[in-house]
Amino acid sequence: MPNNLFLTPSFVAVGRDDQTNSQQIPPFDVKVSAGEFLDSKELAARLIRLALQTTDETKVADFLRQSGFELKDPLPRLNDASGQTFYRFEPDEKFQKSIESFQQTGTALPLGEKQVEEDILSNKTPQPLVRQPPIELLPTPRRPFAPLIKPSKISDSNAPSRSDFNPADWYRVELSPEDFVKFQRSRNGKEQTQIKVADGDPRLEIYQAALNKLYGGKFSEDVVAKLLDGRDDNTSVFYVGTNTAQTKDEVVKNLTAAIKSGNSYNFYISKSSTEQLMRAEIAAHGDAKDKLNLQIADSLAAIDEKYAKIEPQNMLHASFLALSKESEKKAAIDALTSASGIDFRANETEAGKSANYAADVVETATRTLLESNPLYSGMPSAVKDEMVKATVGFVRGGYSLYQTGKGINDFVNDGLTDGALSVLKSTGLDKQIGIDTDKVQAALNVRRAKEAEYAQAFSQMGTAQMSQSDAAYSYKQAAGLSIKPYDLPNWAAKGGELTAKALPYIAIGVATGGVGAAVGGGGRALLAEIGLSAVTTGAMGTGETYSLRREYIPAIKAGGLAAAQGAVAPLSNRLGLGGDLAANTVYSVALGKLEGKSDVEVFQDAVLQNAIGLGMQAGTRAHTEIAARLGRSEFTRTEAQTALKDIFREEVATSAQNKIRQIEVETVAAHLAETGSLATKTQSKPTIGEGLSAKAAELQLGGRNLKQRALTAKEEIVANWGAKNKVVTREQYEAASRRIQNRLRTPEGVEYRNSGIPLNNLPDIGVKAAFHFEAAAGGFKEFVAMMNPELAQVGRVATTAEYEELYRTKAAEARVKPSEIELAKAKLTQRTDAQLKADLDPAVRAGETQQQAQRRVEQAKDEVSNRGRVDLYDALGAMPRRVTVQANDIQYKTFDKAHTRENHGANIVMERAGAPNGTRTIEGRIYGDAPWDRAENFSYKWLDDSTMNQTINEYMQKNWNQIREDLVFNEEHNHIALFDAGKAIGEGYYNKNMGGLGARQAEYGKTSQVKIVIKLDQIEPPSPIIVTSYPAGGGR
Amino acid sequence: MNNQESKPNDEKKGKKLAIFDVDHFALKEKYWSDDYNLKQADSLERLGAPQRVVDNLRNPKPTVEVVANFLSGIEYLGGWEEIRKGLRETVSYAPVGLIQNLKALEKLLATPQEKDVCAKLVAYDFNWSLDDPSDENAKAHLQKLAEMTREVLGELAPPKAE
Repeated sequence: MPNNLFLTPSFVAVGRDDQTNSQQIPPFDVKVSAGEFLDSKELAARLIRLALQTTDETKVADFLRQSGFELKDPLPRLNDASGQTFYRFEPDEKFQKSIESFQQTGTALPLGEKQVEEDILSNKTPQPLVRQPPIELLPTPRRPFAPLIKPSKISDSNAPSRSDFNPADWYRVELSPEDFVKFQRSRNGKEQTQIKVADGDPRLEIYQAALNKLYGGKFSEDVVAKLLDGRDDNTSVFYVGTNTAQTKDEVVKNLTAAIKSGNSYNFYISKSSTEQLMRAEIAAHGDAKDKLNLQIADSLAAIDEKYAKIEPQNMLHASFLALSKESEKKAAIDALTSASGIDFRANETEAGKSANYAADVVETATRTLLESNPLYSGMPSAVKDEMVKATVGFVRGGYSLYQTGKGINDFVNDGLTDGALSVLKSTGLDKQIGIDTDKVQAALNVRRAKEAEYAQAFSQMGTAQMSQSDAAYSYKQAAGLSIKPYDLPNWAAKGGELTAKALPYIAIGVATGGVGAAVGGGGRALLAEIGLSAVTTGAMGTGETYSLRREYIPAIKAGGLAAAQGAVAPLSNRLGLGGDLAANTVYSVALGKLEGKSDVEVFQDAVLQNAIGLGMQAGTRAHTEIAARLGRSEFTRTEAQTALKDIFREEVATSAQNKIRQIEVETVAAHLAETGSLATKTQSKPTIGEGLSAKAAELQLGGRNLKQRALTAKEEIVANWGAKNKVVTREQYEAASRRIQNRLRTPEGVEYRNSGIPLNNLPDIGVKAAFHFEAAAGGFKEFVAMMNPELAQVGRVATTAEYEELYRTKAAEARVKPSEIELAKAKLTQRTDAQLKADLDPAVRAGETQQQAQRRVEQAKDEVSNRGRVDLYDALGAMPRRVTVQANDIQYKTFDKAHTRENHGANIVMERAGAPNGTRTIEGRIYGDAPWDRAENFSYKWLDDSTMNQTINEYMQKNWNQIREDLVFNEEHNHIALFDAGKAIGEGYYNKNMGGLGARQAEYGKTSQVKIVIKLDQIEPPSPIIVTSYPAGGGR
Repeated sequence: MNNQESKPNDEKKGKKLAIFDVDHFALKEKYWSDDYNLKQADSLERLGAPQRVVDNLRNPKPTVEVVANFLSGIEYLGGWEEIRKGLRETVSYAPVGLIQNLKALEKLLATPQEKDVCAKLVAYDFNWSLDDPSDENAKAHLQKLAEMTREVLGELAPPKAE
C-alpha cells in the first residue's frame, strides 16, 4: 500500500506521469551522546544545521520559519558500529530542493504543513484529500458550460446590404435601449437618457450588451478594449442596424437613433472577432474550466476537420466514419476533462460543502481498503475507481431516501416527535403543563426544511472524480454526441443508489406475490418482477436520462434492458445459486466477458446485479413480515403498502414507549441513588410546567427531547413510581425506608454498612424489593436498576444470581409466572437463558435416565459459563485498544503489579558503577544487586517513553485478535509474547557467561526484542492491563 | 434515526466480570480431568468462539512448551516471595491455567529429560541467573516452583500422579 495514499489520491494522478522516480538521497544523521534525547524542535534545528552545513543559528531559524519544516513522526534512533548514537532523517526531493534553494537564493521552498497550505491557496493539484479542498466557485455571472460557439444563422431580410457582407460570418443580436447601461442627464434643462460610454467608445457597450445577450455574461472591459484598439476604421467588427457601422462615428450615429426611437435594433457581430475575443478573455481572466472548454472546443474542431477531409466511399463507409468520429470525440472529452483535474462540484451552500467533504471521506476510506487488501489492490485502477463510485452511491442512495417527504424520515424521527406532540394535544396535557404545541411544530418545520436541504445535498454528493464524469457527460449531451447507458454519469454509483432507493419498491413488489409465488411456478409473478425492475432500474438510471432528452423510444428500450438484467438476479437464485451474491456476480462477470465488455462495464453490471439481489433479500423479509401480519401470503400492492407502513409505525411507537420507560426508570434509579428514598419535596405544578415549556423548543432534537422531558419532570416521575401498586403500596415502602434509615444510624447499622449483611436478614429490603417488583413493569432489568441503589444504601452489592433469586421470590409472592422474567439474551445456541437455568436442575425429568439428566446439567453449566466468555470476547471489541503505559501503570500498580516503567522505564539508571547503594540499575540486575531480589540473565530498559508507547500500541494494533482471544479463552487469562519490533527499542545488559561459563558478567547491548505480558482487568468494563512490557534479550 | 439505541452494561460497571465470578471448588474435579480442554473446545465451538481458539484447545502443546510459557508468564514477578504472591492471586481468578501448568511441570520433572532442558528453561524462560547454573540445580529450582504452586493451589491442587 503506498504510504502517500492520503496525500496524493490516485485519481488525481490518472493519466499523468508517475513522478516518483527520484534518485536515492543520502540520509542525514544527527549525532547525539548516549542518553541524550532531543525533542522534535531541537532535533529539527540540528537537522537543518547539518543540512545547511552551517553553525549560524539565524540561518537555521530563517529556514525553519520560511519552509515551515516540522518533524511530525519521531525519527529512528540508531547506532553505528562504533556505538555512536544518532537520529536518522531520510530527506525527500522536496526537502533537498528547499535546502538548495535556500543556499542559493536565501529563500526556502515551503515544506510540511505550509506546503499544503500554499498549494491550496495557489490552487495547485494534487491536493490532499483528507483536508477539505477548496473547490472552485463558478464565475459570476456563470457562463453556460457548453460548446464555445453557438451556431446562429442569419436569415432576416434586414441584413446589411454591403457587398462584402456574408451572413455566415456574423452573429445577429437584437438589442433594445433597455439592454444598455444608461444614466439620466440634464441638458439644457431637459432630462435626457444617455448610454453610459466608457472611454468615449460606445462600441464597448454595444459589444458588452450583445455578448450579454448571446452568452449571458459580460467580457472584461480591458479585453474588449484591446480588441477594438486600432480597429477604428476599416476592420470589420460589427454592424449596427441595416446600415454599416464600423467607425466610431457611424456607431454613435446609429446608437443615438436607436435611443431616440426606443426601438430594437439588429446588431451584427463578427464571429471571428468574437472568437478572438473569447480566447483573449479566457487567456486573460478565464478559470480552469473556461480553459478546459476551449481545449475541448479546439479538440472537437480538429476532429471535425480531420473527418471532413475523408471522402466516404459508400454509405456503409460513411456510417463507420460517423461512428469513429463520435467515439473519438467522446474519448477526447473524457481525456481532457479527466486530465484537467478540476473539481466540478458546486459548493455554494454549507450543506453542499459538507456533502463534498463527506464524499471525499468516503472515497479516502474506500481507497484505503482497496489498496490495503491484497484481494483488491491488484485490480485495474479503472475498476477500483468504479468501486469507489459504487460506495459513494450507497451513501447517496441512503440520503436520497431521506430527502423526500415520503422517505423513511417521515416514519422514524418525525413520526416519533409528531406522536409525542399529538399525544400531548389530544390529552390536553399540553395546556395543563404549559407547552405551546404550535411553537414546537413551527420549530420542527424549520428543522425539517434544514434537513431536507442537507439530505438534498448529500443525495447529490460526488467525489472530485465523479464530478468530472458528470461534466464530461453534460458536455457530450450539449454537444449532441450520442449517449449510451454506460456513458451515464456515475453509472456505478447508480447501482449503489438503486439499492437504497429501490428497497421499498422491491419489498412491496416481492411482497405482492413475487419470489414466493414464483417458486411455485407462476409466470405472472416473474412478469411482475421484470416490470418492477423496469420501474426501478429503468426510471432511476437510464430512463430518467433518456426522458430528459425527450427520446422516449430509447427510454423504453433501456427500461426493457434493465428489466431483463433485473430478472437475472431472481432467476439465478432459482437456478439453485441460492441467493448468493457472489454467484450472481460470477454470472454477470461470465456473461459480460462473453459479450466482450470491458472490465469496467463488467463491474458496473455486477454492482447493478448485486444491488438488485440485495433488494430481493430485503423484499423477501418484508414479505414474511407482511404475510404474518395479514395472515395470508397473497395480497395486493395497496395492502402491502399499508401493512408495511403500519409495521414501521408500530415499531416506532414501541421503541418510543420503551425509550420513555427507560428514561423513567433511569430517573427514579438516579433519584434513589441520590437521596436513598422516593420521598420528594413536591414542587408546585406551575414550576414544572414552566420548565417543560422552556424545554419544549428542544423537542425538535429527536429522541433526546424525550430524555429532556423526563428529566425536567423528574419530581413527577419519582412521585408516580409505584403509585398504582396494590400489594405493596408506596406508604408501606416509605415506612420500610424510614425503618432502614433509623437502623443505619445505630452502631449495629454502621456495622451492617461496613460488613455487607445477607439479604434475607433485612426484611425491609424484602418490602422494598416487592414494591419495586410490582412497579417495574419492564421486568428484571428494571428491577435490578431499582434495587441497585437500595442495596448500595445498606452497603451491599448483589450478584446477578442473588438478584435473580430475589426476583424469583418476589415473582412467586406476587403470583406472576417466572416465564415473564427476561433474564438475559439467548445467544447462538437454541436454549434460551431461562431454559438453561431450568436445565441446571438435577432432578430427573420424565423420559430421562439418571445419566442423561446428569449430562444435561453438566452441559448447561458449561454453556452458562462459556456464554459469559463469548459475550466477554464480544465486549472487548474488534477495535484494538490503545494504551498509555504511564496511565496503565498508575491504574494497575497496586493490585496487578503493572510495572513496565518502574522496572524498565527509560529513566532507570543504566550502570551500576557510580550509582548509590540501593539504586535499581539495569546492569545491577544481572548481578542481583539490591533492591532486585534475584539475578537475571537479561536486563533491559526502553530507549524512551514514546518508543515504549509506540511499540506496545503497534503490537496491540497488529495482534489484537490474538490478544483478546488469549485474555478470554486462555485458561490463564493472559497474553504473553516475545516479538521483534523491527528496530532498536531498548538497551541493557545480558549475562555473557550464562549457562555456567563463569562468573556473571554484564555485557551491554541494544535489542529489538520485546516481551509483553497482558492480563484482563477483572472488573467491568472489560479492558486489557499491560502488566509489563520490556525490551528483552533472551527467549527461545 | 438511532434514538432508540440503548447503552449497554452501565449497570455492571465496577463489578467483577462474570467469568471470574465462579465457585472453583465445586468444579475442581472437572478442572483436573485430562479431557477438560477437549470438552471446552466442543462447548466453545457450539457457541461460535473463534476457530483458532477451538483448534488450539484440541491440539495439546508439548509439555516443555507449556512449562516454558508458564515460566515466561511469571518471570517478571521477581524473587520467590513475589512469585508466591503472584501465584496466589492467579489462583483466585484463573486456577484452571495454573492446574494445567502444574500438571505439565510435574510431568516434566517426573520424566527423564535431555541434557540442559531444565537449565535452559530456568536461564532463558525463567530469566533466572542461578549461582550454580547446572542442570541438576535447575531441576531443583523448578521442583521448588512446583511445590510452591501445589501449596498455593491448596484444595484445588490435582491429585499427585502415581
